[in-house]
Amino acid sequence: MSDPNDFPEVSAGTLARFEANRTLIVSEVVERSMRRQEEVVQHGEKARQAVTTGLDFTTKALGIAMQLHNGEMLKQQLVWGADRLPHDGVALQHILTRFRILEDVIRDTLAPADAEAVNHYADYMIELQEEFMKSAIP
Amino acid sequence: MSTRLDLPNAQFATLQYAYLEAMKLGSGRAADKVLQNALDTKITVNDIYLDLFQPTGYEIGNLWQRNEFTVAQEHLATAIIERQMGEMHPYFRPLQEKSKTLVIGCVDKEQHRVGARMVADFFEQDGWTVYYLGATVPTEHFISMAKEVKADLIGLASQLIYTLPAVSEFIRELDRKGMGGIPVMVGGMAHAQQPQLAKSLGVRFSAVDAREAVRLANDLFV
Repeated sequence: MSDPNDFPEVSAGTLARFEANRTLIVSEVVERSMRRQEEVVQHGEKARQAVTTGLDFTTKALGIAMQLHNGEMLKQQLVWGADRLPHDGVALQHILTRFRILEDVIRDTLAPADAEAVNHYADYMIELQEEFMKSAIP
Repeated sequence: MSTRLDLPNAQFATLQYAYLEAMKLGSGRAADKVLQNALDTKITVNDIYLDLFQPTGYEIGNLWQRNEFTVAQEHLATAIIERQMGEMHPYFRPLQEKSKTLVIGCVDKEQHRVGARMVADFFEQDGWTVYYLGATVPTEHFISMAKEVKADLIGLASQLIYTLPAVSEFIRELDRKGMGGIPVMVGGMAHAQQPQLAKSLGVRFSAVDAREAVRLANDLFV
Protein backbone atom coordinates (compact mmCIF):
# COMPACT_ATOMS: atom_id res chain seq x y z
CA MET A 1 0.00 0.00 0.00
CA SER A 2 1.33 3.45 -0.94
CA ASP A 3 2.06 5.88 1.88
CA PRO A 4 -0.47 8.73 1.52
CA ASN A 5 2.02 11.10 3.14
CA ASP A 6 4.71 10.35 0.59
CA PHE A 7 3.10 11.08 -2.76
CA PRO A 8 5.05 12.87 -5.48
CA GLU A 9 4.12 16.47 -6.14
CA VAL A 10 2.01 17.06 -9.23
CA SER A 11 3.14 19.92 -11.46
CA ALA A 12 0.97 22.97 -12.02
CA GLY A 13 0.82 22.07 -15.72
CA THR A 14 -0.47 18.57 -15.03
CA LEU A 15 -3.03 19.94 -12.58
CA ALA A 16 -4.23 22.46 -15.12
CA ARG A 17 -4.53 19.85 -17.88
CA PHE A 18 -6.34 17.46 -15.54
CA GLU A 19 -8.78 20.21 -14.57
CA ALA A 20 -9.27 21.24 -18.20
CA ASN A 21 -10.14 17.65 -19.08
CA ARG A 22 -12.05 16.79 -15.92
CA THR A 23 -15.53 17.15 -17.42
CA LEU A 24 -14.50 15.03 -20.39
CA ILE A 25 -12.99 12.40 -18.10
CA VAL A 26 -16.13 12.27 -15.95
CA SER A 27 -18.32 11.98 -19.04
CA GLU A 28 -16.32 9.07 -20.42
CA VAL A 29 -16.20 7.25 -17.07
CA VAL A 30 -19.97 7.65 -16.82
CA GLU A 31 -20.42 6.19 -20.33
CA ARG A 32 -18.30 3.15 -19.54
CA SER A 33 -19.90 2.73 -16.11
CA MET A 34 -23.41 2.83 -17.58
CA ARG A 35 -22.55 -0.13 -19.81
CA ARG A 36 -22.30 -2.22 -16.66
CA GLN A 37 -26.07 -2.36 -16.25
CA GLU A 38 -25.88 -4.70 -13.28
CA GLU A 39 -24.08 -1.98 -11.29
CA VAL A 40 -26.47 0.88 -12.04
CA VAL A 41 -29.88 -0.75 -12.43
CA GLN A 42 -30.75 -0.08 -8.77
CA HIS A 43 -30.73 3.66 -9.43
CA GLY A 44 -33.51 3.40 -12.05
CA GLU A 45 -34.06 6.51 -14.16
CA LYS A 46 -31.66 8.49 -11.99
CA ALA A 47 -28.72 6.19 -12.73
CA ARG A 48 -26.82 8.47 -15.10
CA GLN A 49 -27.25 11.48 -12.84
CA ALA A 50 -26.26 9.50 -9.75
CA VAL A 51 -23.09 8.15 -11.37
CA THR A 52 -22.21 11.57 -12.80
CA THR A 53 -22.63 13.27 -9.44
CA GLY A 54 -20.49 10.66 -7.72
CA LEU A 55 -17.70 10.94 -10.26
CA ASP A 56 -17.84 14.71 -10.24
CA PHE A 57 -17.21 14.68 -6.49
CA THR A 58 -14.56 11.98 -6.85
CA THR A 59 -12.57 13.85 -9.48
CA LYS A 60 -12.90 17.14 -7.59
CA ALA A 61 -11.50 15.44 -4.49
CA LEU A 62 -8.74 13.89 -6.58
CA GLY A 63 -7.84 17.29 -8.04
CA ILE A 64 -7.78 18.97 -4.63
CA ALA A 65 -5.70 16.17 -3.10
CA MET A 66 -3.17 16.56 -5.94
CA GLN A 67 -3.20 20.33 -5.67
CA LEU A 68 -2.46 20.17 -1.96
CA HIS A 69 -0.18 17.17 -2.38
CA ASN A 70 -2.20 15.39 0.25
CA GLY A 71 -3.01 11.70 -0.05
CA GLU A 72 -4.35 11.54 3.49
CA MET A 73 -7.20 13.81 2.47
CA LEU A 74 -8.11 11.41 -0.30
CA LYS A 75 -8.11 8.56 2.19
CA GLN A 76 -10.57 10.38 4.42
CA GLN A 77 -12.90 10.92 1.48
CA LEU A 78 -12.74 7.25 0.55
CA VAL A 79 -13.41 6.20 4.13
CA TRP A 80 -16.43 8.50 4.08
CA GLY A 81 -17.61 7.04 0.76
CA ALA A 82 -17.19 3.46 1.91
CA ASP A 83 -19.33 4.25 4.95
CA ARG A 84 -22.00 6.35 3.28
CA LEU A 85 -22.41 5.21 -0.35
CA PRO A 86 -23.69 1.67 0.31
CA HIS A 87 -26.71 3.38 1.91
CA ASP A 88 -27.29 5.14 -1.43
CA GLY A 89 -27.26 1.89 -3.40
CA VAL A 90 -23.60 2.12 -4.41
CA ALA A 91 -21.78 -1.06 -3.34
CA LEU A 92 -18.06 -1.12 -2.51
CA GLN A 93 -17.52 -3.16 -5.67
CA HIS A 94 -19.24 -0.51 -7.78
CA ILE A 95 -16.91 2.14 -6.38
CA LEU A 96 -13.90 -0.05 -7.13
CA THR A 97 -15.07 -0.69 -10.69
CA ARG A 98 -15.48 3.05 -11.30
CA PHE A 99 -12.05 3.85 -9.89
CA ARG A 100 -10.54 1.30 -12.29
CA ILE A 101 -12.47 2.80 -15.19
CA LEU A 102 -11.35 6.25 -14.06
CA GLU A 103 -7.73 5.14 -14.18
CA ASP A 104 -8.21 3.76 -17.72
CA VAL A 105 -9.92 6.94 -18.90
CA ILE A 106 -7.18 9.13 -17.44
CA ARG A 107 -4.63 7.03 -19.33
CA ASP A 108 -6.67 7.32 -22.53
CA THR A 109 -7.27 11.07 -22.17
CA LEU A 110 -4.11 12.69 -20.80
CA ALA A 111 -0.57 12.66 -22.17
CA PRO A 112 1.48 9.76 -20.72
CA ALA A 113 3.47 11.88 -18.24
CA ASP A 114 0.33 13.61 -16.94
CA ALA A 115 -1.57 10.34 -16.75
CA GLU A 116 1.24 8.72 -14.78
CA ALA A 117 1.29 11.55 -12.26
CA VAL A 118 -2.49 11.56 -11.78
CA ASN A 119 -2.75 7.79 -11.70
CA HIS A 120 -0.30 7.61 -8.83
CA TYR A 121 -3.18 8.98 -6.80
CA ALA A 122 -5.79 6.90 -8.63
CA ASP A 123 -3.73 3.75 -7.93
CA TYR A 124 -3.87 4.60 -4.27
CA MET A 125 -7.65 5.01 -4.44
CA ILE A 126 -7.92 1.55 -5.99
CA GLU A 127 -5.58 -0.02 -3.45
CA LEU A 128 -7.49 1.52 -0.60
CA GLN A 129 -10.86 0.48 -1.98
CA GLU A 130 -9.58 -3.08 -2.33
CA GLU A 131 -8.55 -2.95 1.31
CA PHE A 132 -12.01 -1.78 2.32
CA MET A 133 -13.55 -4.66 0.42
CA LYS A 134 -11.27 -7.20 2.08
CA SER A 135 -12.10 -5.87 5.53
CA ALA A 136 -15.83 -5.89 4.71
CA ILE A 137 -15.80 -9.64 3.98
CA PRO A 138 -17.11 -11.47 7.06
CA MET B 1 -19.33 11.12 21.69
CA SER B 2 -16.33 12.25 23.64
CA THR B 3 -15.86 14.75 26.41
CA ARG B 4 -12.76 16.62 27.41
CA LEU B 5 -10.88 15.01 30.24
CA ASP B 6 -10.93 18.01 32.54
CA LEU B 7 -14.71 18.01 32.80
CA PRO B 8 -17.07 15.87 34.85
CA ASN B 9 -17.33 13.18 32.22
CA ALA B 10 -20.18 11.13 33.69
CA GLN B 11 -22.31 14.25 34.06
CA PHE B 12 -21.56 15.37 30.55
CA ALA B 13 -22.09 11.92 29.11
CA THR B 14 -25.60 11.93 30.58
CA LEU B 15 -26.32 15.37 29.16
CA GLN B 16 -24.88 14.46 25.77
CA TYR B 17 -26.98 11.33 25.61
CA ALA B 18 -30.15 13.21 26.53
CA TYR B 19 -29.36 15.99 24.09
CA LEU B 20 -28.76 13.57 21.22
CA GLU B 21 -31.99 11.75 22.08
CA ALA B 22 -33.82 15.09 21.89
CA MET B 23 -32.30 15.64 18.46
CA LYS B 24 -33.35 12.19 17.32
CA LEU B 25 -36.90 13.10 18.35
CA GLY B 26 -36.52 16.43 16.58
CA SER B 27 -37.76 18.06 19.76
CA GLY B 28 -36.54 21.58 20.44
CA ARG B 29 -38.45 21.53 23.73
CA ALA B 30 -36.65 18.38 24.89
CA ALA B 31 -33.34 19.92 23.84
CA ASP B 32 -34.24 23.05 25.84
CA LYS B 33 -34.79 20.93 28.96
CA VAL B 34 -31.34 19.39 28.60
CA LEU B 35 -29.83 22.82 28.14
CA GLN B 36 -31.65 24.14 31.20
CA ASN B 37 -30.39 21.17 33.24
CA ALA B 38 -26.87 21.97 32.12
CA LEU B 39 -27.23 25.64 33.08
CA ASP B 40 -28.80 24.69 36.42
CA THR B 41 -25.76 22.59 37.27
CA LYS B 42 -23.52 25.62 36.67
CA ILE B 43 -21.88 24.24 33.56
CA THR B 44 -20.45 27.20 31.70
CA VAL B 45 -21.86 28.31 28.38
CA ASN B 46 -18.41 27.75 26.89
CA ASP B 47 -18.48 24.11 27.96
CA ILE B 48 -22.03 23.78 26.65
CA TYR B 49 -20.79 24.95 23.26
CA LEU B 50 -17.72 22.75 23.22
CA ASP B 51 -18.98 19.65 24.99
CA LEU B 52 -22.65 19.57 24.09
CA PHE B 53 -23.24 21.43 20.83
CA GLN B 54 -20.00 20.57 19.05
CA PRO B 55 -19.86 16.81 19.71
CA THR B 56 -23.60 16.51 19.08
CA GLY B 57 -23.13 18.23 15.73
CA TYR B 58 -20.36 15.82 14.81
CA GLU B 59 -22.43 12.86 15.95
CA ILE B 60 -25.40 14.00 13.89
CA GLY B 61 -23.09 14.09 10.87
CA ASN B 62 -22.00 10.56 11.65
CA LEU B 63 -25.62 9.41 12.00
CA TRP B 64 -26.43 10.84 8.57
CA GLN B 65 -23.36 9.15 7.13
CA ARG B 66 -24.61 5.81 8.48
CA ASN B 67 -28.08 6.53 7.09
CA GLU B 68 -29.53 6.71 10.61
CA PHE B 69 -30.52 10.38 10.22
CA THR B 70 -32.20 11.95 7.23
CA VAL B 71 -31.12 15.22 5.69
CA ALA B 72 -34.27 16.82 7.13
CA GLN B 73 -33.45 15.55 10.63
CA GLU B 74 -29.93 16.88 10.28
CA HIS B 75 -31.21 20.30 9.24
CA LEU B 76 -33.74 20.33 12.06
CA ALA B 77 -31.06 19.49 14.64
CA THR B 78 -28.82 22.23 13.27
CA ALA B 79 -31.68 24.70 13.44
CA ILE B 80 -32.33 23.79 17.08
CA ILE B 81 -28.66 24.23 17.98
CA GLU B 82 -28.50 27.57 16.17
CA ARG B 83 -31.66 28.79 17.88
CA GLN B 84 -30.23 27.82 21.27
CA MET B 85 -26.95 29.53 20.45
CA GLY B 86 -28.90 32.68 19.71
CA GLU B 87 -30.64 32.41 23.08
CA MET B 88 -27.31 31.92 24.84
CA HIS B 89 -25.60 34.80 23.10
CA PRO B 90 -26.25 37.24 25.99
CA TYR B 91 -24.13 34.97 28.20
CA PHE B 92 -21.16 35.76 25.97
CA ARG B 93 -20.80 39.30 27.27
CA PRO B 94 -17.25 40.57 26.89
CA LEU B 95 -15.10 39.85 29.92
CA GLN B 96 -12.82 42.74 28.94
CA GLU B 97 -12.47 45.21 26.09
CA LYS B 98 -9.85 44.65 23.44
CA SER B 99 -9.05 46.88 20.52
CA LYS B 100 -9.03 43.96 18.12
CA THR B 101 -11.42 43.15 15.32
CA LEU B 102 -12.30 39.79 13.83
CA VAL B 103 -14.23 39.21 10.61
CA ILE B 104 -15.38 35.61 10.37
CA GLY B 105 -17.56 33.56 8.06
CA CYS B 106 -17.72 30.60 5.71
CA VAL B 107 -15.80 30.62 2.46
CA ASP B 108 -17.78 30.78 -0.74
CA LYS B 109 -20.05 27.72 -1.27
CA GLU B 110 -19.54 26.52 2.32
CA GLN B 111 -22.89 26.13 4.05
CA HIS B 112 -21.79 24.73 7.43
CA ARG B 113 -21.77 27.84 9.57
CA VAL B 114 -22.40 26.67 13.13
CA GLY B 115 -18.70 26.27 13.94
CA ALA B 116 -17.89 29.78 12.74
CA ARG B 117 -20.71 31.16 14.84
CA MET B 118 -19.37 29.39 17.92
CA VAL B 119 -15.94 30.88 17.30
CA ALA B 120 -17.51 34.31 16.82
CA ASP B 121 -19.24 34.10 20.23
CA PHE B 122 -16.03 33.06 21.99
CA PHE B 123 -14.15 36.00 20.47
CA GLU B 124 -16.91 38.40 21.51
CA GLN B 125 -16.66 37.09 25.04
CA ASP B 126 -12.91 37.64 24.90
CA GLY B 127 -13.50 41.30 24.13
CA TRP B 128 -12.95 41.36 20.41
CA THR B 129 -15.19 43.30 18.06
CA VAL B 130 -16.65 40.58 15.87
CA TYR B 131 -18.31 40.66 12.47
CA TYR B 132 -19.87 37.26 11.84
CA LEU B 133 -20.91 36.91 8.20
CA GLY B 134 -22.53 33.47 8.16
CA ALA B 135 -22.57 30.90 5.36
CA THR B 136 -21.15 30.98 1.82
CA VAL B 137 -19.69 34.49 1.74
CA PRO B 138 -18.39 35.60 -1.68
CA THR B 139 -14.65 36.23 -1.38
CA GLU B 140 -14.77 39.76 -2.78
CA HIS B 141 -17.43 40.90 -0.30
CA PHE B 142 -15.73 39.13 2.59
CA ILE B 143 -12.49 40.97 1.88
CA SER B 144 -14.29 44.29 1.38
CA MET B 145 -15.83 43.98 4.82
CA ALA B 146 -12.45 43.11 6.35
CA LYS B 147 -10.98 46.23 4.75
CA GLU B 148 -13.87 48.46 5.79
CA VAL B 149 -13.72 47.50 9.46
CA LYS B 150 -9.91 47.30 9.54
CA ALA B 151 -9.87 43.66 10.59
CA ASP B 152 -6.94 42.50 12.69
CA LEU B 153 -7.80 38.87 12.01
CA ILE B 154 -9.91 36.98 9.49
CA GLY B 155 -11.58 33.65 10.30
CA LEU B 156 -12.64 31.24 7.57
CA ALA B 157 -14.81 28.16 7.95
CA SER B 158 -14.21 25.37 5.46
CA GLN B 159 -15.77 22.10 6.55
CA LEU B 160 -15.55 20.06 3.40
CA ILE B 161 -12.66 19.17 1.12
CA TYR B 162 -14.56 20.75 -1.77
CA THR B 163 -14.32 24.20 -0.28
CA LEU B 164 -10.59 24.05 0.44
CA PRO B 165 -9.68 25.64 -2.93
CA ALA B 166 -11.83 28.61 -1.89
CA VAL B 167 -9.51 29.08 1.10
CA SER B 168 -6.45 29.19 -1.18
CA GLU B 169 -8.26 31.56 -3.52
CA PHE B 170 -9.18 33.79 -0.58
CA ILE B 171 -5.53 34.03 0.48
CA ARG B 172 -4.45 34.87 -3.08
CA GLU B 173 -7.16 37.51 -3.39
CA LEU B 174 -6.19 39.02 -0.05
CA ASP B 175 -2.60 39.32 -1.33
CA ARG B 176 -3.79 40.84 -4.62
CA LYS B 177 -5.67 43.49 -2.63
CA GLY B 178 -2.52 44.32 -0.67
CA MET B 179 -4.03 42.93 2.53
CA GLY B 180 -1.78 39.89 2.87
CA GLY B 181 -0.53 41.18 6.20
CA ILE B 182 -3.83 40.36 7.91
CA PRO B 183 -3.51 36.95 9.54
CA VAL B 184 -6.09 34.36 8.55
CA MET B 185 -7.25 31.44 10.69
CA VAL B 186 -9.28 28.54 9.39
CA GLY B 187 -11.46 25.88 10.98
CA GLY B 188 -13.67 22.96 10.06
CA MET B 189 -13.73 19.19 9.99
CA ALA B 190 -11.01 18.86 7.35
CA HIS B 191 -8.68 20.95 9.51
CA ALA B 192 -9.51 19.10 12.71
CA GLN B 193 -8.52 15.88 10.94
CA GLN B 194 -5.41 17.38 9.38
CA PRO B 195 -4.01 20.39 11.26
CA GLN B 196 -1.11 20.63 8.78
CA LEU B 197 -3.56 21.62 6.04
CA ALA B 198 -3.40 25.23 7.24
CA LYS B 199 0.21 25.50 6.10
CA SER B 200 -0.57 24.03 2.66
CA LEU B 201 -3.35 26.58 2.23
CA GLY B 202 -1.21 29.54 3.29
CA VAL B 203 -3.26 30.45 6.36
CA ARG B 204 -1.68 31.39 9.68
CA PHE B 205 -3.26 28.69 11.83
CA SER B 206 -6.17 26.33 12.26
CA ALA B 207 -7.96 25.43 15.46
CA VAL B 208 -9.99 22.41 16.51
CA ASP B 209 -12.45 24.43 18.54
CA ALA B 210 -13.43 27.95 19.53
CA ARG B 211 -11.42 28.01 22.75
CA GLU B 212 -8.23 27.07 20.93
CA ALA B 213 -8.96 29.63 18.22
CA VAL B 214 -9.13 32.45 20.79
CA ARG B 215 -5.96 31.29 22.49
CA LEU B 216 -3.98 31.05 19.25
CA ALA B 217 -5.31 34.40 18.03
CA ASN B 218 -4.30 36.16 21.24
CA ASP B 219 -0.85 34.59 20.98
CA LEU B 220 -0.45 36.36 17.64
CA PHE B 221 -0.99 39.76 19.22
CA VAL B 222 1.06 39.43 22.40
